[in-house]
Amino acid sequence: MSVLIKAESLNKHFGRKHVLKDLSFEVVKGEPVALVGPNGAGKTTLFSILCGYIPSDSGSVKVFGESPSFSVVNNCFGALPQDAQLDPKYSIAQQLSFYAKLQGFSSKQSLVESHRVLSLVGLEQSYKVKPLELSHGMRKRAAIAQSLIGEPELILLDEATAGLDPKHAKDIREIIANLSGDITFVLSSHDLSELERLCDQVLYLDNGQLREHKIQTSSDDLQYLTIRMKQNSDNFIDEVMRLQPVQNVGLLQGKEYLITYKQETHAEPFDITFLTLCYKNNWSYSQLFNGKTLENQLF
Amino acid sequence: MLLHFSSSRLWAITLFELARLFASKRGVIVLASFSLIWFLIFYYIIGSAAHFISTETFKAIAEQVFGKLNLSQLLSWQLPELTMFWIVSAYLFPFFALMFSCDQTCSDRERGTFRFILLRSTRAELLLGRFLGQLLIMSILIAITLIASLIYAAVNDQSISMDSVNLSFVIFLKLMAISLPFIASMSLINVFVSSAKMSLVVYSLLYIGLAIVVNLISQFVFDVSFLFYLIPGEHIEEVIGFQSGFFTHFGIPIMQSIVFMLFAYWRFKRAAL
Repeated sequence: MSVLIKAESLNKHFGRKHVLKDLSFEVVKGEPVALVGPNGAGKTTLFSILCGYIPSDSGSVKVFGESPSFSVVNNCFGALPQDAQLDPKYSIAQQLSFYAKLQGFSSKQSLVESHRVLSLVGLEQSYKVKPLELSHGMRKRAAIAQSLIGEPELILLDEATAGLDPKHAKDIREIIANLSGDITFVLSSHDLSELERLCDQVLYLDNGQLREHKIQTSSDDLQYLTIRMKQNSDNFIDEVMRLQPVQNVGLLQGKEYLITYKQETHAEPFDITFLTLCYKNNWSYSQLFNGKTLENQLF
Repeated sequence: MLLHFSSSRLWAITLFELARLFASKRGVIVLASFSLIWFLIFYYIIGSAAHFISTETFKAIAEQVFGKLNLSQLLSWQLPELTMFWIVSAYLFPFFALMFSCDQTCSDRERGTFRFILLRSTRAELLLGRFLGQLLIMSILIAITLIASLIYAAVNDQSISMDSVNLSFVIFLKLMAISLPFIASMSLINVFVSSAKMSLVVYSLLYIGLAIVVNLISQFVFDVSFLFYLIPGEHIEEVIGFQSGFFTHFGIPIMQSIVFMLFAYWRFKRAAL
């Protein structure tokens, strides 16, 4: 598998604060990768180093085998930097066409390309509009559109859906899901359910240190169900614990439970057993998740 | 680094600077102010002064004044309008160069717009492209005002000879050379400051401060007057008489610009954007 990003022993300080501590990881071509972590964990710093906006203090990072500052000019790499804004003096069309020209498109092709990427994010009507005439969410979509110019092989999206209304956040997720066959996305977001839907691999950054994580629905021995009930039932834990394969039932938060069980090879699938129990007890649930949610895996 | 340098990207960045001036509302307002200033200069200064230095009655006085100022060669020019245009422009275009180029990179850097551009170009291309864009804008403005002065002379019943056209071209090149270090110094200051206003304030403080310090050290400690060459426009008084050599006219401003641009690149390359 081709390695798109390779970081080795990456360190970054801001003053006395050690923001990134000896990070080493690889991103290979394929499914989207999530970059998760609490505020101040170093996600945006890592993105900035990968895009060549800031240098690392030590260690090495290669994007497509080159230093980030130079890999960008090969047009195989797009990004949505956090908080970057388009120039308010020019229309969206002028700016996207300019970016396309920098990527090697002719004047005519650059117009076609900017139309194409704007239609991908649902902004084809705002082609000649200046950024300040757009809402925050529309400006964000225009910024996402610039990352799609030239159909790059790798796109880094820092907080792509932050500030978007649910419909357009869903649209962006759909775009990512649709394009993820050809493009490898690296996504940073605080919305874990969003990352769960899109990504298999998670890079969890906390206090400058990286933990690589594979989103799993089961381990070898024990399996999990996460269920959110509509109402609380006093005897829910006791009743579920009586089921033969169940090892443990834990209350996570509110009406959400984590059921740990061991599936015997020839026995009835546990989810069927569990749902039958729900039916018999007249319990309604609002969400059933096969495995641990990403939130519960990480925290 | 050179392996990644692309002249087509450089040219795209340079041309986009033209759009900044000629296709934006702010740019049109700036151009309108520029035209108004030049209208007043033509009407009240160049016109009347050209008439003064070319009238037989005042010619002797003009020769005396110009001689004292080491400008006597300018009186031999066929078109007195060009003489006055050159004197006024040599002092005025540095001011315009500073005004037009005071926001080469700072506001884009603060807004984060650079992050989009740097996903597609190198820092060297961006810095140099913006500088060349400003140079292109100045060349257009200088050419327009020069053509206007020739038209003004023609309207005043002067015949435009080939010599005057050639002289206009030389004036164009010399004005470009005069403007060059001012634009480059703004490229340098833009790397450090966060707004166009701040860049003008820093420019004033830096170069006035430098002139005072160099003067004081040279007077009371030891001669460091060569440091005056760090100040853009230091050579204008030497070249205004049109008698200096090629090096003074072109070598000094080009070398100043190269030093400013190299220092700007050195800083820009390391800057967090």
